[in-house]
Amino acid sequence: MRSRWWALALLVVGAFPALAQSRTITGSVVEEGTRVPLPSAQIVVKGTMVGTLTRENGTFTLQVPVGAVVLTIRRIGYPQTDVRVAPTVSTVDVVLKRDALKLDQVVITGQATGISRRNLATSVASISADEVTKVTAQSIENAFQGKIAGAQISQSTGAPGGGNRIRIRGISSILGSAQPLYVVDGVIVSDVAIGSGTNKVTRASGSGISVAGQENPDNRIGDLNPNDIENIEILKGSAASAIYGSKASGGVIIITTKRGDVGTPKFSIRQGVGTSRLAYRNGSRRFTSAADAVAALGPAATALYDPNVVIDYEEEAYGAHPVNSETSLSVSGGTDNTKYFVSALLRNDAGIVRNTFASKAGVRVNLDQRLGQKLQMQVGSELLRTSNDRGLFGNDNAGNSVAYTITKVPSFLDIRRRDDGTFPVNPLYNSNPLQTIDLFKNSESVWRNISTARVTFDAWNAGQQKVQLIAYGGADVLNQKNLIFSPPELQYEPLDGLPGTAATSYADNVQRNLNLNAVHTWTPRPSIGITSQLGTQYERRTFGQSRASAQNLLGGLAVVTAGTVRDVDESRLEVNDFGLFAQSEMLWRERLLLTVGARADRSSNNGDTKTFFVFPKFSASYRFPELRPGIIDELKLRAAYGETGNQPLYGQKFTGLDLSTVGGLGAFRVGTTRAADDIRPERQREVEGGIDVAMLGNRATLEVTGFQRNISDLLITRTLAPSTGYSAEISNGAAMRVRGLEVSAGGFPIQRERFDWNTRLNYGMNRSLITNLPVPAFLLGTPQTGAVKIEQGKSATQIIGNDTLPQAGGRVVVPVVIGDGNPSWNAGWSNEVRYGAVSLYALLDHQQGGMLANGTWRHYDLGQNSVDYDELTSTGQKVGELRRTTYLQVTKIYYEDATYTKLREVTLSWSIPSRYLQSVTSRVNSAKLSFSGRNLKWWTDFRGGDPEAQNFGATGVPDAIQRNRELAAYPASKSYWLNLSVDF
Amino acid sequence: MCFPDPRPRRAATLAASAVLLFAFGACKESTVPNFNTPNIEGLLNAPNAATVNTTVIGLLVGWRANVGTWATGLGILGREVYNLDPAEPRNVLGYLVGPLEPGGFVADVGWSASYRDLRTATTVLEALEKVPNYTAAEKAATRGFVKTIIAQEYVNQLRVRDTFGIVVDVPSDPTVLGEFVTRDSGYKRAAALFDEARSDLVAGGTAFPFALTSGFAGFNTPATFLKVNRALKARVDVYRGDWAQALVSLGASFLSTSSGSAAALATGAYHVYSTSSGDAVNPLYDGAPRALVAVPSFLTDAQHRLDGSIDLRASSKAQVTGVNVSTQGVNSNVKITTYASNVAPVPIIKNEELILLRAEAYNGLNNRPLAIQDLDFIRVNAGGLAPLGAAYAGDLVDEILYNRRYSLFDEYGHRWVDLRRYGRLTTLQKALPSHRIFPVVPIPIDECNQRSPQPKGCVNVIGF
Repeated sequence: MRSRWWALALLVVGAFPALAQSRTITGSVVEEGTRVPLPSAQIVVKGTMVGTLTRENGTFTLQVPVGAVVLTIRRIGYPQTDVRVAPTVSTVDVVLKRDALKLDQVVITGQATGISRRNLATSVASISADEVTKVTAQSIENAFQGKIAGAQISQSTGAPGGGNRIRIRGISSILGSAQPLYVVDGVIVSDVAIGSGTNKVTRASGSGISVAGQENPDNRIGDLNPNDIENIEILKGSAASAIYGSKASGGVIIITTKRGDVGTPKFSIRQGVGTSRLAYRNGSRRFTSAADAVAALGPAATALYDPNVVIDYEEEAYGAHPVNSETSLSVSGGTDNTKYFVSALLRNDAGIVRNTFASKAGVRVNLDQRLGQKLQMQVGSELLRTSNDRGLFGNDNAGNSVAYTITKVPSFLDIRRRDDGTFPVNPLYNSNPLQTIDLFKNSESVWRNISTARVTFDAWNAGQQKVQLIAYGGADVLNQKNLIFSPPELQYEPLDGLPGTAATSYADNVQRNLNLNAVHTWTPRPSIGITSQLGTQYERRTFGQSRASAQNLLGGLAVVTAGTVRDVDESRLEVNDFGLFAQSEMLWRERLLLTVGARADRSSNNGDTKTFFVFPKFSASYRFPELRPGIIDELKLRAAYGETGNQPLYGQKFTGLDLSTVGGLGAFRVGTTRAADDIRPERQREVEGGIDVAMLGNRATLEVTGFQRNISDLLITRTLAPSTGYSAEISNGAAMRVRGLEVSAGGFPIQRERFDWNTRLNYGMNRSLITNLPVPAFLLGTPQTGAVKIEQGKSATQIIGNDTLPQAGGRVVVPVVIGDGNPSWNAGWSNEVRYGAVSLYALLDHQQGGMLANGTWRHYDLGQNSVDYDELTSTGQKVGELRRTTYLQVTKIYYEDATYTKLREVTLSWSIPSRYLQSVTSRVNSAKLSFSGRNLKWWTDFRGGDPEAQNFGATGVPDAIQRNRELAAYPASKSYWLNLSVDF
Repeated sequence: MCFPDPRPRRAATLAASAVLLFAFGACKESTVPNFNTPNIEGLLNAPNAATVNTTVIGLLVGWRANVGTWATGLGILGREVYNLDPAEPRNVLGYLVGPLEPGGFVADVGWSASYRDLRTATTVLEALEKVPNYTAAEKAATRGFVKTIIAQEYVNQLRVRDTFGIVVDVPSDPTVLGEFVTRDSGYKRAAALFDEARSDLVAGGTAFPFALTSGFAGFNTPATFLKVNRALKARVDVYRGDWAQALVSLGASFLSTSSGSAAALATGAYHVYSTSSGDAVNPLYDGAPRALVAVPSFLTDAQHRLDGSIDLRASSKAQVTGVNVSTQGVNSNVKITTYASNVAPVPIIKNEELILLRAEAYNGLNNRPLAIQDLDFIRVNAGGLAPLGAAYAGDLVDEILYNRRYSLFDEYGHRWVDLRRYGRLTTLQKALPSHRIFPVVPIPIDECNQRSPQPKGCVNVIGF
């Protein structure tokens, strides 16, 4: 092995007597992110044979010539790194970036402990800072797309500010949410998606102020500043995520933020400007005769039809050319006792629809302070401000959602803004979408603070045995305010006799947790290390929202008190959880790793609040280092078993009396959902096994993981016969199995000084099966528009819809299986090629299969306005006419395979050579200029819109069905960025 | 690195003790109440008068929940009105083209809301017996009120499902399903419940323990509400063709021909609306109109008055406007003006209908003179039409159906039910050749899936 040879050689040269004219440099080498000291790293003065190795604690001392020197640091698993040391500097702290193969990364396996990826017994995906910020993203999940084997990440809406859904290792719950748990520096943070209140205008569902899901909400994890992130770990399976017990069955995403290093202040500035463009166009029907127009649009069309007018309303509505910008600053540094990292972000995304935008500003301060020889403290605090206007989009029953209405505007009709700023009335529909874009206000603003603290106390150290006490915790406080203002002059406003609508909503979400841990490490022999820990975890979440709306706004004021018809709405929740955690991990000769642990949880959301639900885990892995050096450098076999849960939601254990009024009298009605008293967490038992290989001289890795999860005690909304007076009963009962396979491969096919090529591929697939259903098969949704049928022995995501079957005397409409909502597989493939200072990176993301209802396309047809409407079938019927009139009998007409390939990320970057930098200033260490793009190109047969779009957003439960509907979302865009980053 | 100052250590000890104390505090079990609604246990276990009284009012909310379904949904099936909401094409493709399927858009048609109201009603019936501060008379009065609503909800669903039958009884254990019965035994059951309610109301003293809405003005004591009970019962009697019993019921109702004024004809019980938060607005009011329009034949089929103008009921309840609402090939420029505002009340039953029910009962008993007398009372006073006169020899069923269509337009989906009763659904006009007439609505799929064998209504209705 080359590295070993190096080590030997260095030891020899290091033994030579110090040079006559010399000085001493001391320092340390640590790993970026985890900050684990790196022993046995080789340090050489460039151009000499002078060198040494770092000690066990990562420190080193080296005699070097007087004057400035360059140190070259090498260590297996890390790219070679050069560090300039000025003549007067005698302390150097070197941070080595992990290499792309990540073999030496430390992965969290306990509440307060981790283990090297080299030994890890479970499949844990990780994403580095570099990968998160490769192409700037509005929300961190966008930066995950295509990079994690086994995760399906879809952007629900193209609106500025994001809004995404994640499903890790397939469906894990029928009723509950499959969204993962987010943890930032040890603190569980909120990913809540709070509705805006546009329902009061769109009437997407009932006449309430907000219905969250159908209002294209953004989920709040998007508030985080991606530039602060040092590393992200995705605990996919139950064996890995069992440390989070009853909240972990959807997977856990652990985010670690950047911290300061010892040394002089290091500044980093990143400035980007960009723009975005509509990514997909439907086109619209070109009416060729007045008769066609009248047949489609009614007698009013006679006077309106003009064959010479052709207006592209998608261009009119979605054709804005926004200027987007992002400014990111950070400074870090510190002394042995105090280290700091301070950052700031200012980002603004304007939308492809005028008057829509999302902006984000944030400041983070991370501080590490040594309080005593045995006591260390790390604190961090981030203040975030997010605001946006996402326009009026999504499902609608009042005829005013912009994307809905665009489908109904024929190209011959001119309803564009007049020169005097007013808009013509749309004579064929309830609203003029261009006027709605111009005047409708949907303002959202969020203030948020995430504060974390970690205190480590080395309580006892007796050589072979050590005890460390670690306490960490923090709070995530979030206030969201939404103002909806639909002014009286909007065409649709006077239709209900109450012109003008305003809605104001305030929501606050507070999450806090505290973890106390005792960690015992014991090294009975040099070859055996045993790490054991005991811990407690306490968590509390409170959420409240109050909303007020008004219609018939006097004077057209945007305030609720101006309305004559008012509505109010308030709801609150509180959840208190307490958990105990114990684990023991044994590492033998850096080869065998055995872990056994359990978490016990109880929650105020359970029917029985006293009982602890226990979630055990076991895992083992064995490494075969140097199996066939140069061919198979290392091979690891691993197997793991773990259990996690999915908590009932607040309120699911209550059968309530609904409140309402009639003619001034208060009224109670028995609620529609009946609760089961003994409601408890869903339990997911998962077995996973895998093989990890490093090969071809550590130039390539392959990781293959298979898993099977059996989920029992599934919370199901058992559909009751409506004649019972209840629509559903929530109880535990059903069982489901999910099997899947994940493969990740990576390598450096070429790695030369001036030219290298880095490639990575990931693949994931899973299949679900309902193994036990104690109640009759039931539907989520209706067959006419597609429903998921929960049925024993069938996939949990099978979609049924109507179809016509021949029978004597004609055809009969029957519900049949028309497909499955779960994709067959997902894959991502990235390549980065560097030649000298220039590098080119591209990421392709592919989804195979998965049925999606194309609601936007349906509405083009229903408006008799789709681009191919006039094409003829073999029997001479117009295809659009046929689709429009038969879709209620043949559901699959508007259900399509959502297979797509997207060019997610592309970056062309130029590391500005130091000779140019030096001519400007000597302080700059590095600078990079890059041109990048996101979602620049996609290939799909899916019609109508983005095959990722989801009408119900992240809040849509049940997850099984609400992923499968695309409907008049804010259209997706492709974005382009030019970035300059400078470090000094 | 050295810290001679012991303060940090002391601070650390202090901090450690604080977090430990906090952790043990957290070990205590935590129960969190339901912040957002009262729990049903309050009604089931130890109900008090206030809770039960409030839940009785909930029955009015539940009853009112289906007003739009009857007037608009059944109104579309009976070609009284259209819902041409361009954002919901199934109001045309589902209601007018079909077929009606158990899993389709047109299958629930009030089923869930009716049985939800029945669940609340049976819960109140159980609870009221346990209320310590109710007098025996108050219990009886409440029982009579609740049972009237139960009977009425059965009738509501019988009108929709007709020969497919309905479920009677909502057992207190929701895992036990109520019994599916035929149309005829369903009506029989409803009639019996109206009569049970009458006995309870008679024993109900002078006042209800709860206040009623202004929609029950004049009918808000057990004795006066009994008149509403009898009126609703009379409607069932007529539906069943029990003409003699209908006359008996009508005799105990609030039927009055002492005045032909609009107010006298409109006397009755009403669902009321308001724009207060938590209340509902009249779902039949569409001022623009945006979606709800009258089928144009409502104006063109109207009989003419002596001066050549059309039936006052037609001209007052609908009019041609410049707004032509159009979707899926169906259009209408006839605006519904039955309700003046979004808080206008909707009749539950009114004197005008009672007089027509009496005419129908007389006709059923072959008493043409009295039938014509009642019909003429309505024709003259409500329609401004010439009386038929005693010598009229035409088909009285035609005349009954005509007057019911115009007197009761956009109230309860009467036309569809009435035409079906007389086997005359085939007389309905279709707007497009692809449209169909459906005589009955299937049982919703969620009901079908829970029952084995499936009820006979779990089939597609193709129509004609």
